[in-house]
Amino acid sequence: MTFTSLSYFLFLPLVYLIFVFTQHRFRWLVLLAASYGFYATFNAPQLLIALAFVSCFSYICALQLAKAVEESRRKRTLQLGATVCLLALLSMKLLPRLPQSFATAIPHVNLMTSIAVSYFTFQAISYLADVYLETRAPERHLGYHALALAFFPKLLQGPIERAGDILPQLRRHYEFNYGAMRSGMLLFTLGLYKKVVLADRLAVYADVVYDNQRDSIGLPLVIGTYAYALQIYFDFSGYTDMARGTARMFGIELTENFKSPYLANSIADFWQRWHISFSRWILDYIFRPLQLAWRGLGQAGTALALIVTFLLCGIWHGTTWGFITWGLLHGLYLATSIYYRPHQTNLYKWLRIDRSKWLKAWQILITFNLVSFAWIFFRSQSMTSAWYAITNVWRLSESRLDVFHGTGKRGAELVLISLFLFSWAELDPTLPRILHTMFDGRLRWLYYYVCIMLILLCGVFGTGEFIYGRF
Amino acid sequence: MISDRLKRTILSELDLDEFDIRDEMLAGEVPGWDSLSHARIISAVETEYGTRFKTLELLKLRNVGDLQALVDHRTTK
Amino acid sequence: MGDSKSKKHLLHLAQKVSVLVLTTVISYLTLLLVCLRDTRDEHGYLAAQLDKVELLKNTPSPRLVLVGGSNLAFGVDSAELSKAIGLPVVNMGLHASLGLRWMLDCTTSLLRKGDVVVVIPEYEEFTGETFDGDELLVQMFAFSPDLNTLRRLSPSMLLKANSVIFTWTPGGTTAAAAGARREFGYTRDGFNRNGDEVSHLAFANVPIRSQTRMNANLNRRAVNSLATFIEEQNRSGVTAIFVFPCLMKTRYQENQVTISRIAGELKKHIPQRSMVPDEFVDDDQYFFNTPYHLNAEGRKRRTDKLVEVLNRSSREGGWHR
Repeated sequence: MTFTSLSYFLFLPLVYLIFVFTQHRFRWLVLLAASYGFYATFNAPQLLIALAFVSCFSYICALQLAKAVEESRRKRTLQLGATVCLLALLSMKLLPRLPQSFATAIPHVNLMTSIAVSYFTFQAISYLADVYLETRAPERHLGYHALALAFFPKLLQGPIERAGDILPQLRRHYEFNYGAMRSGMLLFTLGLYKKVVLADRLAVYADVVYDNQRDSIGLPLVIGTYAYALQIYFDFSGYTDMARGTARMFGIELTENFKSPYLANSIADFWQRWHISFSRWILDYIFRPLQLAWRGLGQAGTALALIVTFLLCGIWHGTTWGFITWGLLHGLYLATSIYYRPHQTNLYKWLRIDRSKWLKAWQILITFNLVSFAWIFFRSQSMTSAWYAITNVWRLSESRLDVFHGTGKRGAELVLISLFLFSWAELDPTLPRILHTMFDGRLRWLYYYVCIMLILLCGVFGTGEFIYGRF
Repeated sequence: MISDRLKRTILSELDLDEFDIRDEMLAGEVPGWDSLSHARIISAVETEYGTRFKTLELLKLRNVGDLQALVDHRTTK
Repeated sequence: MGDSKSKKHLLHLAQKVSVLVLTTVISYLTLLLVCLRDTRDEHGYLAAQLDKVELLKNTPSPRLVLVGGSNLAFGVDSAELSKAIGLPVVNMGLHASLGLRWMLDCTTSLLRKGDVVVVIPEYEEFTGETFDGDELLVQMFAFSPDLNTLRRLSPSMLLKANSVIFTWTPGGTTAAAAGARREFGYTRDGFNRNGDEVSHLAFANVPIRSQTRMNANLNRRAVNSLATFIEEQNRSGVTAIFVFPCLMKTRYQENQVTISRIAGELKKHIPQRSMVPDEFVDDDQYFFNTPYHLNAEGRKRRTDKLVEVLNRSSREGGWHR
């Protein structure tokens, strides 16, 4: 069951009603049971076991950490805890790669569900680190601790929460708040629109190009790449909106995971806006320790730390050369920026354009293209097809758009209009204000109806392919 | 209280003329002090005070006041 | 929940949300129905189903009925088959997306004692959810609005059919009537009297686009349902046989693991001897526009192969003609 399954729309109200009519003392149990039930719908018991194991083990480790006084003992407990959690993660990732005889016995899991293991593992590790660094006292209630890891809105795709952020909220006494309910449902609807209308529709264009790369030359490769860049953004941020909207209905505010990433003016800025909870995690637990350990090497130390961090980030997505190259590219982007950034800043100051709006626009454009370039490796089915894309994207004069034949003009128009509205909302506060007055006014239920109908009519629920040609 | 010596070290590394640095200030609130320049600033502080911090101590720092405390702890030993 | 005022608010909200949900569902279904009626194309490919059902009703028993997807429509010469085995042939093959479950339902009530039903489904029917059909069934409902089709429609299918509404234009579009056309098109008129698609035979091969891998999730329920169907038919005097579909070599090689798993599962539940998937794999050059659709030459080879297989099966299985 995912947020876009029909069964979720039965699951959520049911869970909410049970939650609301349960006494405060047992509400954590309702949510915990619902979360494990949610995860169980993927029919992969090994994942549930991993979740339960990581929860219990990190719980015990944290208590041990708090009890221990001697520094070396504390350090070892932390190392043990982190290592065991990482092993749990690795074993879940490697399980599908076992020899055939074993593999058939294990239920098939798709990428998304196995990635969830990463999120709760990372959260557990960050929790242990926080206890170790004494920024937080350990959670003594196993139920709340387990819930902080398993909470179903954030279970599949994060955000990765800090214990200090989520635990107090889970413990707080819930009171029905009409405003929060409404805001949560609206946020959920926005996320649904982003995912089902925009992301899945953009996917049609991106897939047409990337599933048959050799059929495209020139402009289609550009369009396909940009379409993918936007697809992955709307998919991921849409899902996050649905997670945050759901959580808000239960009185929990999850951290924002995206802050207009394609308006970043540098790659460094991009990573402060894209998948924020994840980049904060790799910053704190991979980059910073490496950077400090190698500070004797000066700038080179920081550069190296960046490359290693993002290489690991690439590998975490998958062990194909495509993902590794993607990670490496981002690492290199950031590493080189350390060297040229001060000179660049001075140059702009000297040219007196450092506050210019045009410069800002230029920087946004360049950053978006650098990121899109890296996405080529992320999305391509192999390194050869990625190389094909890069070498053939320049042959613009030979472009033939007939590769998009059959994908529908109306869909493209819808996407462009939506993009325009989203960009406008980013850059100018009048649009959000207009929307707020609409949704606060007397006709708001009419607007809700329009929104839902829009999603039902414009969402891509099937494959969008030309049906007869599928078999 | 952030000593003048520490303040000078940080500001010169960041190429800033004047900026009021207070105890409870976080690194990110000082212009130019971000995760990329963090190691450089720490190295500069180490060079200035002729000492070397342990990575673990550095990871525990929460704000500039903590850094000052760490420096004081090192220099008064 | 402590506060009774909050309870009232919650109740209020629940009522409003229920009304909203109901209104949207009714609006959506109405729009869907209207657009389906409007885009119903008497000359379209799906409309051929009406002809096939007529054919099945009117052909006297005993006859050989072919059940499956477009691999049958585009890959069997029924007239030749009929000559070789001495029975009239009804080709019910239309499109795999309609789902094997629905295809079996359609024929069950129309089969009579003494008939031979040969089920030749695409491999995808045994993976993922293909067995239950997809949004194409919703469009089919517009042509044959019967209970049989209705009960196979699911909410997700109805949602997936929204493309009918999204792409709707006033005035509608109809497939060009058969006649001199420059390239192949899926139409009702492309079928012959036995239910074979023959208009494609006049065209040269179309480059086949690379396809996504077959879904690795084996659908055991689909295999069991087929096995049950075969068993029940055999018990009621209808000879039921399963045969593997003809598949393009490269696609077969790309998906060999999945296909052998499917074959293994089928073998466990359907007691048939000596048939293996790669008996029905042929070189890429014999395929017209998809990995299952054969051109004129390929169709001939496949029909001959089918005759051979059916003869073998009738000797082994003891069904007579």
